[in-house]
Amino acid sequence: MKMNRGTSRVVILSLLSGVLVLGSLFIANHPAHAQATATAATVPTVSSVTLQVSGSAPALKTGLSEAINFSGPLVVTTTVMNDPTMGPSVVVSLDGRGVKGTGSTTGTVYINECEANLSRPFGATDAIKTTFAFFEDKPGAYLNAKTALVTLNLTYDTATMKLTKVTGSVSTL
Amino acid sequence: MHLTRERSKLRLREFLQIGLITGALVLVMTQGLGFFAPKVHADSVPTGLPASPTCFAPNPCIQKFTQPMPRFDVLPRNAVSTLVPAPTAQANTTQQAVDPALGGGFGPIEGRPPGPIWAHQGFTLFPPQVAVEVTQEGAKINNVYNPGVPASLNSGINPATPFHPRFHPFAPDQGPLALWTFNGTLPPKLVIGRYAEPILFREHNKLPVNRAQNGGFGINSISTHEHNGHHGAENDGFTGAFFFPNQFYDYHWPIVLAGFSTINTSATDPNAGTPDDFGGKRNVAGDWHETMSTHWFHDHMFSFTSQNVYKGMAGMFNIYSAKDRGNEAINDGVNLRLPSGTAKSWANLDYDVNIMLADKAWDANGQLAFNKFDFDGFIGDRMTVNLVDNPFFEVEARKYRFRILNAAVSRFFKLALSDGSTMIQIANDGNLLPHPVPLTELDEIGIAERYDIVIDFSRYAVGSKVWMVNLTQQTNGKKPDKDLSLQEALAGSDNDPVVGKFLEFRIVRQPAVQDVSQVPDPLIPNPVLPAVTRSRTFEFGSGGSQTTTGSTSFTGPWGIKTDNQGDMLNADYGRITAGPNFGTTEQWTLKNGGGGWDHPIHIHFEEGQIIARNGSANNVPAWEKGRKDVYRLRPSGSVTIKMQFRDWGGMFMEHCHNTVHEDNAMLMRWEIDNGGSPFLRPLPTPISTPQGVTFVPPDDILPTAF
Repeated sequence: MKMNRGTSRVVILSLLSGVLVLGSLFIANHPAHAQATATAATVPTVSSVTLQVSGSAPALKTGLSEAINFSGPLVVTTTVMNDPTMGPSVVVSLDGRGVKGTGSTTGTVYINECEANLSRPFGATDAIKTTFAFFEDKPGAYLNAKTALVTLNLTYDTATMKLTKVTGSVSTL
Repeated sequence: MHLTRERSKLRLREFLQIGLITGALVLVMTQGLGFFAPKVHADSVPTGLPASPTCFAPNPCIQKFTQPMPRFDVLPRNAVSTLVPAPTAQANTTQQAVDPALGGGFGPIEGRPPGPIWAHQGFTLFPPQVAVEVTQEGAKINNVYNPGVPASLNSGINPATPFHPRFHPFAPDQGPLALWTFNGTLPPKLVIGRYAEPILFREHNKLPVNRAQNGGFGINSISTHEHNGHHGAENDGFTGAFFFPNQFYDYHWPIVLAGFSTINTSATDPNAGTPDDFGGKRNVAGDWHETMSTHWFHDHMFSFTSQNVYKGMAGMFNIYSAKDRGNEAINDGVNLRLPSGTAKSWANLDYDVNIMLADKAWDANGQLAFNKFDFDGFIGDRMTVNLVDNPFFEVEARKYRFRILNAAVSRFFKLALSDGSTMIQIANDGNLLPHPVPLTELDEIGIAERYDIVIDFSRYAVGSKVWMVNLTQQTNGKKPDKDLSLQEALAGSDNDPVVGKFLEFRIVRQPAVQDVSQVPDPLIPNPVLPAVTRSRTFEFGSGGSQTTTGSTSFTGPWGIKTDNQGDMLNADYGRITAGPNFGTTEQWTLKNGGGGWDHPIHIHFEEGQIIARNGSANNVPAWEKGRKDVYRLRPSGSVTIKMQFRDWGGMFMEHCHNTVHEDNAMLMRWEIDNGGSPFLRPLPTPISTPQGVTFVPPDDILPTAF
């Protein structure tokens, strides 16, 4: 196939314009490009508070033969990331493995597997409800674990993004 | 063709018109018609697409829990002699005519790179004993569904009834361009394997030769990663070792315990073993602490993994061992007797259920839809379990094991039961944990992570129901918005339809036979690795840049910075980023350099142990204290792991498994360094074409690689 210079120019111009149009479309359909390149690494604000929590799980709710009374330390660690493009968010980490349960009648000791990492929006306050498994402190008892509910109210200093106060309790669903 | 000078003088309007037409044609040729799909706000669900319709006249509208969840479709295990041509150590380069749409001429019948470098390592030492032969092709009806269990254990599904490729009986069948799966059918496929019984996994590419015939997304060249096999790189599904329509690729999965070449080499340790067919076991070499259980396999095509996996190219692979036998009755002091069944010597699926979670979206015609232009990631608005929409599953009042895989593109899930009762996590990423962990809410499960859990349904009355619930709201591909309380999640989310109940368990009867399964403690303690000889740091973030050009490199918003040096680099599978010495143990710190984003980072080939999160061992939760292959960084977080590199050689990858991030340049290549013997140092990069694979030297080697 032979083409004269005019034809070649048309083809080249068409391809060139196609590339330009494609480029425009690509950029227009590329929402992450601007977001991603604008994102800069920031240093997270980490705070940790240990609070003593207590509460009770009635037998009616757990199916156990007695109420279980909980008490012990719950470590709440907040990691706030103030991303310049997404705004602040926080991961709330809980470690309540030090919380012990005691059978109200028999004195049976219950331990737990209370660890969690929760994604949460950041604000001046946050109310969290999460559950954990507890079970008798003896081999194999995890097979019959029961469920407890921990309720937390967190307060942040929104200027420093630090956790300033936590209150909490243990109960059941 | 002849144009006059006058006609060749284009006015601006004509210039733009031609440009638009040219651009459109190029887009359609390269991307299919999906580029022109309607766009809506990025943070709506599904990402950049209209909501998936749920009513397809004349059918009733789709309601949750109105269809059974199908078990996986168990792939046949055939004699190796059934493979024609017979498998070979080096790639079979017999020539065939190449379709003109693929460039014409002639090319090899096998797409594996040729020659000794990509020959199956250990092909003589571990000759294949089982053949699993599959195709990759467009959707069609399944007439050979094998759930591996009777209908009574598969929610009444009659396997003899043709199984349609659709997300719900009230939705249309997926067309052959919309859905691409193993064998072209649903349900997703399951490979059954056991230690010391090498599998030859032959995959035929039967996808359309025309790249534009893709239903708007996906590409017809493929590479299948066995996630996370301990075998040579030629069987790993390297992102650059892809093959084309009308070719096949032989993957040799030897299924060996890590350390087989240095530990327990005489196979005397009774814990290191594999089930036989008669209720017993036989010992194998290697470290039994490296026993693996729940794998999956999926496409890993360079820059197209998200589209192809979303399109259906994913299956699961259960590996059985002396410890994890798949028979709950055998009591020999080694078998852990996890919930499974008793009828067969091993690999009973009766009470051992594979679960694949994936959020999807579909268009007005009910065909699978995807937005490939949002590089944050993709979030769907329909929850599928084993690729059907919000199903139910019938169970007996006894213990079940569920092998849960997050096969989503960008979504994280946090799972709980609707009554808040306990699940016991027994494995993470295919590795049984040192100790079982009772949990009422699982941790957010990142993309590609696998959580094996046990649920004891004996606590429920026959006739009752309980639901699996997703607690995590996520409205974009960046990270989860928030984890909701169980009560909130049960109420649903206006912003995210995938929050809430998605799988209904119906307790239909008492167990047909006594439940003799156990969930013992300990399960599998961690292996003791040699002392760390080297540390490396990888920072994952945005603002990636590219220093190379050519077909092996890609430019995108994402990147990886290595050892705190240089730029955050875009992916280039021709670049060697790290070269750990063969046999050594290294400590790798994976850092999130991208602010509020989350990235689940996958390291191929070797399992790692997390020794610190954010710099402290105290931050490693109980369910992450085993071995893993996907490491969630969390916003601004870091994970420090240790791994030993042993037994096999070749080039492997490390990347974000938010596959949109991966595809847009958050991926790097590393390879085993043995100082040049027996492996080359560095390895040449394969350049795959339908006419054959050539090799070029690496186009970049980072200064700290070796």
